[in-house]
Amino acid sequence: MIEISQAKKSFGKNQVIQSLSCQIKEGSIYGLIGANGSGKSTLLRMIVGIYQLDNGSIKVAGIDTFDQLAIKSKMVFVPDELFFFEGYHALAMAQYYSHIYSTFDFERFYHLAEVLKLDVRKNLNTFSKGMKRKVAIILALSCKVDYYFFDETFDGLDPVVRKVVNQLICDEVAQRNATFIITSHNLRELEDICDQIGLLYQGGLLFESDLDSLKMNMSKIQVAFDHEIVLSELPFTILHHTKVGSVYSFIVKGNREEAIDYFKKQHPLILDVLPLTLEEVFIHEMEVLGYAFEDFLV
Amino acid sequence: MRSKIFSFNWNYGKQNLKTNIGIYFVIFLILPLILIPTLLNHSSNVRYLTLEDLSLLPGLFVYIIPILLVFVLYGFLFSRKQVDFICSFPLSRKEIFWTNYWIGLGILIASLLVSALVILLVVWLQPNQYIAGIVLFRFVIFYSISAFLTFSIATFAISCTGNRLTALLLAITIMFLPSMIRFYEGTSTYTYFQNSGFIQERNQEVVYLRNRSQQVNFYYPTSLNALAPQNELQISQLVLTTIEAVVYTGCAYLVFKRRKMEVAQSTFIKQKTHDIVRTLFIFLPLFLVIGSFGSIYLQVIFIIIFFVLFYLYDLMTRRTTHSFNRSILLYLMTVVLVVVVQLGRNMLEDFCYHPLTRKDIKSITVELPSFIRCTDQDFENVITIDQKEFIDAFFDPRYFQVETQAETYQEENSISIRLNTRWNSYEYKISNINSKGLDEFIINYLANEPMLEQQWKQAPFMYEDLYAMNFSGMELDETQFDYLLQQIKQEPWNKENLYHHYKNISSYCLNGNGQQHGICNMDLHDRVYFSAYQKGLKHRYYLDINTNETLRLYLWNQLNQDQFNHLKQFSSYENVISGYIQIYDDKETEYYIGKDSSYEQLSHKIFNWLQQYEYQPLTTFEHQQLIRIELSMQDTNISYRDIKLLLPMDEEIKQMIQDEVIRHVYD
Repeated sequence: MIEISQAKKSFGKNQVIQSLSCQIKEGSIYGLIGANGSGKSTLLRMIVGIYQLDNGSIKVAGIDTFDQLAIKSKMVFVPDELFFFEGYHALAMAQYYSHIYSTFDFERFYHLAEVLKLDVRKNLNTFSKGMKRKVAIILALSCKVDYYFFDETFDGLDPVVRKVVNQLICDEVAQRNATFIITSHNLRELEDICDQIGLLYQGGLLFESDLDSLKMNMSKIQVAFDHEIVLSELPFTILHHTKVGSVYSFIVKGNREEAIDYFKKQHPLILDVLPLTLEEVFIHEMEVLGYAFEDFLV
Repeated sequence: MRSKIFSFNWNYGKQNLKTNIGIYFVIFLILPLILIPTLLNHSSNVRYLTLEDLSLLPGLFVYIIPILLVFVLYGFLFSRKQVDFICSFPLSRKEIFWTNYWIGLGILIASLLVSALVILLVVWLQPNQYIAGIVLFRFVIFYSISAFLTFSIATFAISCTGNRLTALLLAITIMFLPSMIRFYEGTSTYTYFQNSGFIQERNQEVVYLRNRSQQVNFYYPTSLNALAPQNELQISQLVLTTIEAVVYTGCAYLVFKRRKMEVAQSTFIKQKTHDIVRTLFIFLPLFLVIGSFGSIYLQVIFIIIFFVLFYLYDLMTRRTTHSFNRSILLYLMTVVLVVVVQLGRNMLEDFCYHPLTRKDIKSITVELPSFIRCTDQDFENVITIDQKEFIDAFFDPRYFQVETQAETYQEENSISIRLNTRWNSYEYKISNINSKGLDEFIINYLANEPMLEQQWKQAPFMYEDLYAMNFSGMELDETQFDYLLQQIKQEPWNKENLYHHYKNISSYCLNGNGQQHGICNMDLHDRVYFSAYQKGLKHRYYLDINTNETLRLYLWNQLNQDQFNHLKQFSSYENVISGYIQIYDDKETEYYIGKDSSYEQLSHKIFNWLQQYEYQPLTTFEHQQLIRIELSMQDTNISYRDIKLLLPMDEEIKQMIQDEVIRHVYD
């Protein structure tokens, strides 16, 4: 488990992380979202021990992460801005990694390179942004550690590759109970993969929940009647509703089945349950909290 | 693989070496490659190498290479991407720091060791160069410690900041600023015309000396000050340097461990720290300029230039464009501070350094009296005396008088002295002195047998150490060398005849009572000078051959023939510049000849006579039987050659001189 307790970090007078606390379970994929400058990258760097906390503590598997080899050997970090040695190819970088990480698996490296269609002996300077990112992901996954920290990792990846990477990540979690923290400012990137989502806002964790219960607790129901209905008489919480012609769209909070049963009893002309995107979930949750969603994700 | 003792992570180190192998290799090879042309490019026929001969571009190795190395090893600290890359790895800060540190030191030492091997190889391949093992040892030790210090300072500087320029300036400031402070400690400087600074208070038995130098000594690492005369190493200085380096290393590690890695690409996190450091940078050049030049306008120009640099630095490192007012303010404050320090310099000196009293002075180094100085340029012609009587004599007006308000500088009435205290030495050149009493004291001191006897016991070389002999500027060739060596070995020479050059004077000059006798001038060449190479140091000894007529005659005749060979190169009188001729009648008489002299006609005649002269070997040294001729000949537009001859008296030339003297009288 990753435990962050009252973590604080400032750069000069600028308080970047403010008393942040959260827990991330083992074997989960945690998505950290926030606008530019919200502190996502800083938080990741604090967890992996690049930056020192000003206050608070960060523990991974019960061990403070700063300058502790025992736990750092179980972590790998893929930053937003990648670095490769001048003139190196992927295989040379893999060799470098293998000297640092004792768990580095060359077999896996070659397999992943094949899956992602990468030439491991080609100079990395000739690679595009997306290809470099693929190399970074391959290198990280080949380390076979327990904790992975990906900062804006999907940035630059095409949808096909993204899907493959998602699958690889899920395999890691399923097979080795690995834990992932992935940051992004794009909810759509995280939607398909994350178990938990945390929303960073101005250095603090504004909202945190696991996706399943979030989605279970909310539903989007489209219904049409041949008569008028009184919204106030509906026996469940309506977060949001729209009406186009005679078709109502309700965002319902609470038990979905109860809502469906109720509408069925009203003999609707149309009754559909539509999938909710994460973005829609967030929009409505934030509205409940009194925030406009555009404030968080630019 | 990790080493607990040295905190060295071999895997990380190996990879680090691999990534920058090209640069490390170049750094590694620079010194050995530079040494090769140094060793090959010399004009001497025979060369015995000392540490000084191997000191080409010491600054390169001592200053530049260690700094360059540090910037390569720890260069990742300047890039956020690289910081993320390295610091996210399972490497502790301790490992990152020490692994790079030991690699750097290893490269420096390896470079020196390879250089030593290169020196050995080149010397071995060249038949006329020699080097003692001890010299190589000194070479490695001396430069290792010097480079160690610079390396440590640079590591400390780079640990403090995330900006390359700042790190470089910080390293330079740390290296040079202490010397600016040490400047007040009165390091040995040499200025002319300091009579006004030399005040004797004889009644109080105190001498007030104000060592106020107008020069500025730039910093040399302590270890470079450890290169004492004669190329021996001062162990104390080397130990101090090592301690200094260790301290900087420790500080560098502590700073690195606590370093906030977010400082990458910026100077310092706090604006205040940035301001303090850049003020420190500009303090040094301002200190050198303000109050140093005669022209106020020049100082102002420099102050403006420095401000531009000051502001540019801020732009380059902080990348801000709104700090102009702040820069102006800080700069003006620094200028004021420099002025205050300059003005307060005298007070600081007085506060820190008490006037020298007689008790402070442990010994005095003084030039030998002019008439017993050796003309060989290699000789120091100084003597250090630590006798209380001598120091007292120095302050006794009966022996030593100084005009405290001398207005002009006169070389012939000046003396160079060095007053040595326990920790320091102060050099003066004092003009308008009357040091006759002091000279006599020195001669008597030198003639004092018990002291000399002690020195004689310390004399000496093994014959196999000798590599050259010189008689009156003539290097003995192989035949002459062997002959002389054979003679020396056969003769019952004892150590009383052999002196280490600067510790004794010619016995020809003294008749035992300290009085001068005859021509008391080393130019009479009653000595053979030996060059010996012992334990990596060059020594010069002379053998007084005054009592060995056979040897003297042999050498003088060899010398005369050698001089005649040189003379034959000049076929025209036009080459004669000046000279003199000495004959011994009832007294020594000397006539100055040459162009524009009053005896120019004589000079012409003598030159022609010499051209026709069939050499007659010397058979005696009876004064009346000798004639001595010295001519200064112009060799080319820029070089001259002195011809020195000691010939048997010739009636023709004697008559020539007499006629010329008579003619001169009546003209």
